[in-house]
Order: sequence, then C-alpha cells, then structure tokens
Amino acid sequence: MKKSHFALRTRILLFTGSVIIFIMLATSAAILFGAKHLLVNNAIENAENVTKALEIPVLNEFLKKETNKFSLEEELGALINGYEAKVKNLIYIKIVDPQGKIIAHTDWRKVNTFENDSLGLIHTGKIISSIYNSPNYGEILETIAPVEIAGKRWGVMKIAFDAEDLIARLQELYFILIISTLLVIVSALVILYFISGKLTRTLSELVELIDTLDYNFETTKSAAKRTDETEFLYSKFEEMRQRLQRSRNELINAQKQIYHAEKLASIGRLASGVAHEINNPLNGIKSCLYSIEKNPGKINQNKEYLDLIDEGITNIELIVKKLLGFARQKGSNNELVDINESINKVISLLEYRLQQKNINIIRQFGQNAFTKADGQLLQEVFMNIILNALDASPEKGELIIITRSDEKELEIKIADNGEGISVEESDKIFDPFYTTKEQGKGTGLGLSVSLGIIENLGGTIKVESEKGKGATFIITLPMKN
Amino acid sequence: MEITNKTYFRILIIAAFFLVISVPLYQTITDIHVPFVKEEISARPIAYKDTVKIGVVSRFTPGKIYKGYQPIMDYLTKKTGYFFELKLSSSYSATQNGLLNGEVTAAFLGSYIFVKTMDKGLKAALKPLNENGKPFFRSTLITKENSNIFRPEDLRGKKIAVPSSESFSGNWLQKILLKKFGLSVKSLKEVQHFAYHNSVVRQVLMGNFDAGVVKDRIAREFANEGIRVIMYSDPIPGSPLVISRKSNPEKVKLLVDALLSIKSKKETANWDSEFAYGFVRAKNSDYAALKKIINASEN
Repeated sequence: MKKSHFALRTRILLFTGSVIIFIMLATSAAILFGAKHLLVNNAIENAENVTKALEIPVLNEFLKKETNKFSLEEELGALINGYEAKVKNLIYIKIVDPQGKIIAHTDWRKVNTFENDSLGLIHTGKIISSIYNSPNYGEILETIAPVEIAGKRWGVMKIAFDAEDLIARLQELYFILIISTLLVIVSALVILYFISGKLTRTLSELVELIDTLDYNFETTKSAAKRTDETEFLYSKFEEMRQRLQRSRNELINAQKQIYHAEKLASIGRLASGVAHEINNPLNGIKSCLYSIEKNPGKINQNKEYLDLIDEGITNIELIVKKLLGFARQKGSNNELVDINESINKVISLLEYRLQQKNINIIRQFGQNAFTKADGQLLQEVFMNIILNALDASPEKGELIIITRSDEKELEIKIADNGEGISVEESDKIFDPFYTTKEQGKGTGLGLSVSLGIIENLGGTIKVESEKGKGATFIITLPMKN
Repeated sequence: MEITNKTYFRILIIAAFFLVISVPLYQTITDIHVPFVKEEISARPIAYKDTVKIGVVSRFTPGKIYKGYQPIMDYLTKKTGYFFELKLSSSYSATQNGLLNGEVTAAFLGSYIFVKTMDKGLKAALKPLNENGKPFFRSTLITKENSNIFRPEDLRGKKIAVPSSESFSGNWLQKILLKKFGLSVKSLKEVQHFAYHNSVVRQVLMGNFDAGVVKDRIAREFANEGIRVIMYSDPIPGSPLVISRKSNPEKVKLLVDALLSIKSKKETANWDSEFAYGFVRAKNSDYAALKKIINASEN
C-alpha cells in the first residue's frame, strides 16, 4: 500500500514535470524563434539602412566622375574610410565594378584586386543581404547594393558587419531561457513535492487508519478533522467501516445459527447411538425394578439391584451430561482448550457408533496440545470430521488420530481407511451445502462450518486423500498458551 | 520517497526528451545564416557586338541625365545588340567636341549649340516630338506663383536666372525677348547662367532670382511646385540627335531605326519626357530658320 501511494506521488511529479518541461520548452522555443527573427531582421534592416545611407554619396562620386577629372578610387576610399569610423561592428566596405575589380576598399591594399563571385551582378536595384561564415572574417552580415541609376551600373557596394555579436546574443538568450526553464521546473517540482506530500499524507493517514482495523472493524485511531475533500473521504470511510461492522455482526450471528444448526444436525446423527447407550442402562434398571417388585423381601438381593439401578442412572446421567455439553451453544473464545481431551470427549460421544462398526481407534496424542479457543466450536469441528470418517469407514475400520505441537503451531491429523475422496471432490468438500451423502443424511454444511471455525482461529484445514485409500484431515492451529 | 527502477527510467526518458529538444533548438537558434536571394543575382552580362557611346549635353545634373537617358540606352542595347553607353560631359561644347572627334557616335545636342556648330560637319539625324506630336519645343519665362511679375516689362530691375549660355533657353531672353519688348540686359539687375535647367527653377523657387528661363517641358515638370509661366517663345525645332562624319553609318542606321520604331508609350515610360513622344527624322535645313533668328539677334 505504501509503495503505491509513493508511486502516486512520483507519478504526479513525473507527469507535472513532463508537462512543465513541454510547456516551458514550447514557450522558450517560441520566444527564441521570435527573438531570432526580430534580431536577425533588425540587424539586416540596420545594415541595409547603413548601406542605403552610403549608397547616395558613393553614387554621387561616380556621377561626379562622369563630368570631372579626379581619382575616383581615392575619393571613394576617403568616403568609405570616413564612414567606417562612424559605424559600429563594420568589418569592411568595398566597391566592386561589374568586372569584379575592387575599386574601393576600407583596406586599401585590396584595391585593384579582383574578387571572383557572381554577386557583383545583382539583378535588381534592391539591396540584398546575407549572413554567412566568411573564411576570413567569421560570421558576417553582408549587404550588397548596386551603384546605379536607371539601369546604368557602375558596380556594387558591399558592406560587411560582424554577426558574431548577434550569435552571442542569441546564445545568451538561449541559455537564460533554458536556465529559467530548469529553474521553473525545479521550483514547480519542489512546490509539487510538498503539495503532493500533503495530499498523500492524508491518504497515508487513511491507510494507517485502515491498518489499525481489527477483525471486528474496530479502530483505535481517530481521523483528524479536515476542511477539504479528504474529510468527505474520511466520512465515507467511516460509514463503510460501520456498515462492514454491522455486516460482520450479522454474519457472525448467521454463522452462529449455522453452527448451532449443524450442531443439532450432529446431535441428530448421534441420536441413535445415544438412544442405545441410554436404552441399555434403562433396560437394566427396568429388569432390576421388575425383580425388586417380584421379590420385595429379598433385601440383600434388592440392595444389589438398587446399586445396579444407581449405576444405570449414573451412566444415563453421564451420557446426557456429555450430550448437553456438546449441545451447549456458547463457549468462551479465550478458554484454554486441551485438544486431546476435546477429541476424547467427542470419541466418547461416538463410542456406541464406533463399537457398532468395530472401528479401531488409534490415538497418538502429543504433549502440550493446548490452544486458546472456544472449546465447544473445536469439539464441533472434531465431531464433524470424525463423524464423516465413521460414515466413510468400513466395518472393522481404523481411525488414527494424531496430535502434535511445536513452538508455533498445533497439528491434528484425523485419518481413516475409508473409501477416500477423489481429487475433484476434494476441491468441493469445504463448499457450503456440498455433500456426497444420501439426501436427508447430511446438511452439506459440516466441513464448511469447520473451515470457518478453524480460519477464525487463524488456522488451516486441508485434506489429503486418494479415492479408495482413505482420507486424512490435517488441522493446524496457532499455539496460544 | 521510494524511487523504483521504473521511476528512474521515466526520469531518464524525460531528461532525454529535454536534451533531444534543447540540443537541436540550440543549433537552430544559433544558426542565423541567411543566403542571398538567388533570383536577385543575374548571370554575367552577355557579350555585345560593340559599345556605342552616345553624348549628352549637360543640360541636367548627371543623376537626372542618367535617370532620363539611361532607359534610352537600355532600349537601344536591347534593340540593336550593341551596348549603348552614355557619355556625359561638363559642357555643351565638350559634347559637341566629342562628336566631332569621333569619341561618341551620336549626341543629344541642344538646338542652339547645333545651330552654332552645324557647319563643322555635324548632321541632325532625329528630332524629338512634343506632346502634340510636333518636333518643336518652346522656352518659357517663369516666376514664382506669387510674384508680381506678369509681363516681360515687369522684369525691369529684376534678377534673372537662365540655363547654359550654349543653350537656346540660355540666350532667348537676352537676345530675342527683351528686344521684342523694348528692353535690354542693362534694364535688368542681373542675368546669371546656371549649368542646368533644374537649377534655374530652384533658384527662382528659392527667391534668389525673380524670374528664369527654362524649356517648356521643365516648366511643366515644376508646374505644381509653385512656378508660373509668363511667356512662351515661338516654337523652336527640338533638340536634335546629331551625328558627325566620323560616326559609323551602320551603328547610326541601327540607332535611328530603333528610335523611329517606338511603338507604344510603354516603351518610353521611363525616358526623359523630352523624348517620351518619339522622334522624326531631321535635316540640317530644319534648323536654318532658327540659325537665321539667332544670327540676327546676335548682330
């Protein structure tokens, strides 16, 4: 139970953790993509604006050159050098003619060299931009603007800006968001850990309360008053406990009635034997009384007769006493019962029937066969099993009763050499109302009741048997000295 | 809290999910590469048969000339297979010299400079049509919209801005208009030449000069910007496209044929408005009358 309640808490944490990770990652991704889009677009826009601003003076230099004589390279070089000093993150400005010759460069050493790419020939008058990794300058944002008027193209102007800074800003933003995500996850899980702990503590308390319930659904603990939904759970639990208690009481009462009914049925099965046992002394008494009546003067002889009558009455009294003892409904659950003695009592009740069938009883009673139980109920168990053995045993059969005990348990074996029980039957014999006897000779409750009595005492009852080889009932009971 | 193997496995799955998402996310976020738009980059230019240089008198700033004349070059390049290139110069006479020494195949000259030098072996090949389909233009006397100058007589004691002294508009006022109204340059406070027609308009608009003279098409261009036309000159034959003896006849023929075969206004949409209505063939004799007027005014 404890394991599952921890599992519930783990599951809450894992599920919520997963959901938070998913939401935070999705949110972070959205923010990052938005920021990337914004930063890159801003950088490109800024670069293009810087380029546009320089485009006009550069074009003017070319136009001036159309009607004036001066060194275009020097003029353009001076112009872009002046510009370079004012623009942040600028790597280079170069002006390339349509043949790829660099006619101006912020690095003067590169003037009059050629560059071999097709980008000098951009198709439209638009400024185009790219961010790429340059082998010489690393990550750069390069803009290319045509130096032209109405299709007259003098070349293109290329301006490169450092883009490493842009990447560094995105990296910074990424790590901030990832760390924030982790912090949020950890914080949320810590909060959840305590909240779920509070929630599962309520469940734990309920579990502990349930653990304290005894067989009568009584508890020594009481639930603390709460103001949340768990109070409802507790009240429902209490209602259920009370219902179970009522049901158990009703069940116990019903069980008692069944036990009693079964006991009466056992008495019924004993009746013929008992009648014979009473009948024999009664016949003796009757013939004694007849003799006394015939010869009232024979005082000495009559005295012997009276002694015989007294003995007969004593025997009847003993038989009735034993029968009453067995029929008594209620015993104490906590009386110390001598198992050997209980078995002997049952055998004595069955003596007549055992003699009738010439059954040889072999008792192998161990020492210290005591347990705390209701002796009457235990006698009923032994009675049921021995009666069944008696019914199953042939003439001159054998009934072996063995008791044995150790520190932990007490074992009672009752074995007969009767017809035995098949495997299929042995699965059903403890079921209520299952009987192999003819109709009217058995209620089918004996073994079921016996099983209930033994299990209530914390013991077990099982049968080992094969068809035709007799049956052995093995009862184990915990030692309660 | 009791943590089972299954729980460890789940934690590992969640951590792996976190890593699986965060690593590619890092790579995607820090990959800021943006390629150049391919369609904006053309192939290397095709090889043309030859380059044909066309001169233009410096009636406008170089920027304005390129805006208005480069589309004509592009049209000619497209039509002829030759690469047509503008050759700007610092003065009207420099253009004329370029034509005479064969530096340019043809040149857009002003009517005035052509009349003055046509006898040196220059030949008018084409002349532009105006918006009425006639091969003429007019010079205009302009003032600011709110000026109190309404007639040429009001110019007395005023400062006047005019274009190049080598253009018709740069001479019309002093040599023809003032005489016609009984005035002379002396009756004016000042006459100043500016390199470009646009400069004249701007000087008048700025109030630096009381009036100015520009071509009619320039006056129309600035009509909504606060100028008023007081007077038009008589129709003057349009500024000719001139060739010289040194001009390659084959190239001239291709050039002339191409400019005479303009079919729609769409083709001339971006051209300087002086040439937007097309051309007609021109002869030197078309300018004889103008020559006579100019010579007369200068004597």
